[in-house]
Amino acid sequence: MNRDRWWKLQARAAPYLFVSPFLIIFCVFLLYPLARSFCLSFQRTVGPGHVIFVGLGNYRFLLGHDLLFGLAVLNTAVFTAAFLCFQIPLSLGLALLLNSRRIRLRSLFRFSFFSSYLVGQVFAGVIFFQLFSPNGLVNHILGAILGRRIIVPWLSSPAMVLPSVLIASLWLATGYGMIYFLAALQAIDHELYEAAQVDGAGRWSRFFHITVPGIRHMLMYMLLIGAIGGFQLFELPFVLLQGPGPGGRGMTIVMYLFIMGFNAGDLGYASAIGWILVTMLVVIFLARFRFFRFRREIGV
Amino acid sequence: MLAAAASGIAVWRRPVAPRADLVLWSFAETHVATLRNSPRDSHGSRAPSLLKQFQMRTGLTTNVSLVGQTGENIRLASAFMSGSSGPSIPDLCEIEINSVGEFLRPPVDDIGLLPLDDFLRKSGWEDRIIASRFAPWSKIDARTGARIIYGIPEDVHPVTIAYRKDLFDDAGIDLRQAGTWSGFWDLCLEFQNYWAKHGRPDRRAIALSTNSSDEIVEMLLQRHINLIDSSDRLHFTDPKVLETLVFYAQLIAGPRAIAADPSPGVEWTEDFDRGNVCAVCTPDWKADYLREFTPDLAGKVAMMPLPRFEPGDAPTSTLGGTMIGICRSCPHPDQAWELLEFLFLSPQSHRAAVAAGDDVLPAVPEYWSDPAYHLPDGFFAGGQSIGDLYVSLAPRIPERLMTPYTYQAELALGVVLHRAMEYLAAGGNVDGLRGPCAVWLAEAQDDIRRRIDFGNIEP
Repeated sequence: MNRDRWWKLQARAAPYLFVSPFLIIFCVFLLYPLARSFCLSFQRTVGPGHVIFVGLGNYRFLLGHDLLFGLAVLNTAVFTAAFLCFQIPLSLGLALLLNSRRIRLRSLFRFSFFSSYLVGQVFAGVIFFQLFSPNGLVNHILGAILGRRIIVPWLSSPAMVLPSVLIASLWLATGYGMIYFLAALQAIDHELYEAAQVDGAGRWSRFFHITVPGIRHMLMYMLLIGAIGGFQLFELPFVLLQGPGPGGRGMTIVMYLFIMGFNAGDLGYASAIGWILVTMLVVIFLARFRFFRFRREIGV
Repeated sequence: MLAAAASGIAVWRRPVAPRADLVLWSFAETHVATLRNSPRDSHGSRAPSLLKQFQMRTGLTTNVSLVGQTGENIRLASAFMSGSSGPSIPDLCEIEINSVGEFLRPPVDDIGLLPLDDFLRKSGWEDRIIASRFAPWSKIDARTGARIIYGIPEDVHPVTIAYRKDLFDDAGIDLRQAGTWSGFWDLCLEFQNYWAKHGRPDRRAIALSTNSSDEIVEMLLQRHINLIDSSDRLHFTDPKVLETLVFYAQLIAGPRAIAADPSPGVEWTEDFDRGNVCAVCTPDWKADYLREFTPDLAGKVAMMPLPRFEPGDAPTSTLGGTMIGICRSCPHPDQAWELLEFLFLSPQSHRAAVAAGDDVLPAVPEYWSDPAYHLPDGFFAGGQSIGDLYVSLAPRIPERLMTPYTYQAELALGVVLHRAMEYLAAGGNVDGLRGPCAVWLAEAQDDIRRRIDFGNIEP
């Protein structure tokens, strides 16, 4: 092979060679499992010798007859809505506070609030399991404040499951949201605030007419990411409640998927749950685009 | 790129320790310690560990791996479902009772564990192991109706009630007089009233779970009811289930409640120590927690059999359990059986368990006469021998069945229990509860029935 042909071959092959590590990893660890799980969702699998094609049977049962799946969807949706209602204002409030030049040691505070996110859901689950236990720190502090023994059944009462998971989630995710909002706030031109102040605009007016429009893309992004994270919630309640929790009130969609896959041993059914979840997330994602298009159309 | 390639080659070329002749997976640290450690004999000298003894007898090497329970379940399920074999799959594995259902889901020939009936028959262990404990690890062959055993029980786990005798004595109540659950309830109410008048209105008579269905399932087992039987028949609508559920709901909710939720982990011992809860359902594996975590209560605790609902009920129940089984992919099942027999059934294994200070009764009744189980126990009031009590109850433990749907059935029962609790907590009365409760149980039964019919692939 002469030098010219060798160079041509290299030039042709090089791009493929460079992308091949990513492609191989993508295909082996993502594409193939995705395709396999999609096929599995149309099958009932109970062992190497028993793979039965059931068509849409898994989906029909899941959507038409499965009360526990309904409970899991309800729990997840309520959690996600509550999480977004608290996380967005808290993260934004913290970001506004730590964006102020009057605060000293801002970097330290920023890192401190963000650092909880670094430890992960399992760690947070273990920590809050101890804090919320009947003899845990939270009940001790409440008892000390009220001057008598207090046992709030944080983890054993169905009514307290959502608040407990929510508090732990907010501890984990508020700092994360704060970092994104800080980035968005710092991108707003400061002259706008100065001009508004000169024109006599008050704090709230500046917030609603400069800050909110300036961070609206980040706001939508945080809502989207928060909603996706909420629908994918698993490790935190699983560790915190040691399972689905009292009355199944802590069972999320992914936890139900895990239970069906690894407690009931039905991987086909678990795959169908996974694909229903994917569909839900796609709907949320598309709704976000529709919302933006609608705002553009009406000129907001 | 070069560094990645070099390290990849280095890892690939690294010599791998040869696989032992037999590999066993266990999820329990205490079990692994008993197998690996050298027990002391009666003269105080150390004997070789069970694994070493087995190697000396047979020349076979054994590796016992401690694998986290969830991890073990997932790895075994993956291996069994894919039909994998080879060095990464163990020859033997321990499985916990609440996990075994999923492994019994396939038709009998497709289950990843080896049927052990022939081994049991030939070795004679079939008649030497307590029969009721084979139930959780067995499956009925849909073609022949025969029961096939996939696991050897390691334990019996009879349940008793341990209680603060000192506090009950102060209230002038002898809890052991309670032969029935309703009598027990009355005495506990009397106990709480006494302490309410003596400055402890928060003191609860017993720890019963509002959060899991463990104790209500124990009560149902006492009444010989498994929510799903071995033929996949459902018993949610059995009148006794309704009666038990309504009774249990009153113990934990409403104006006549006597129970508090047990704290998680071993924290319940702290509540017991402080007298926040004064009795606790105690399977044999739990008894040692009392000695270990509440040493100050030495001489203040007593133990009694479970009260019954009716004369035909068992005076005990069972909670927890472990089996040891042989994986179907094991290339040398005879050697694996020999190991299983030596590590879990032999007199040597029994001596090692006793030497390890294990309270847990083995599933082999002939070992129950061991003097170690009949010694006075200094921790319990009057030196009560709790071993004696457990041994007397062990032959009467009810049969506990596990199916692939038992977990979901118990989850559904827990949901019904919560609805009943909410009803009582909202001021509803017991008579009014029965009607809705029956409806909720029927709904739960329909749900589980649909799941079983939907998931069933056998003829």
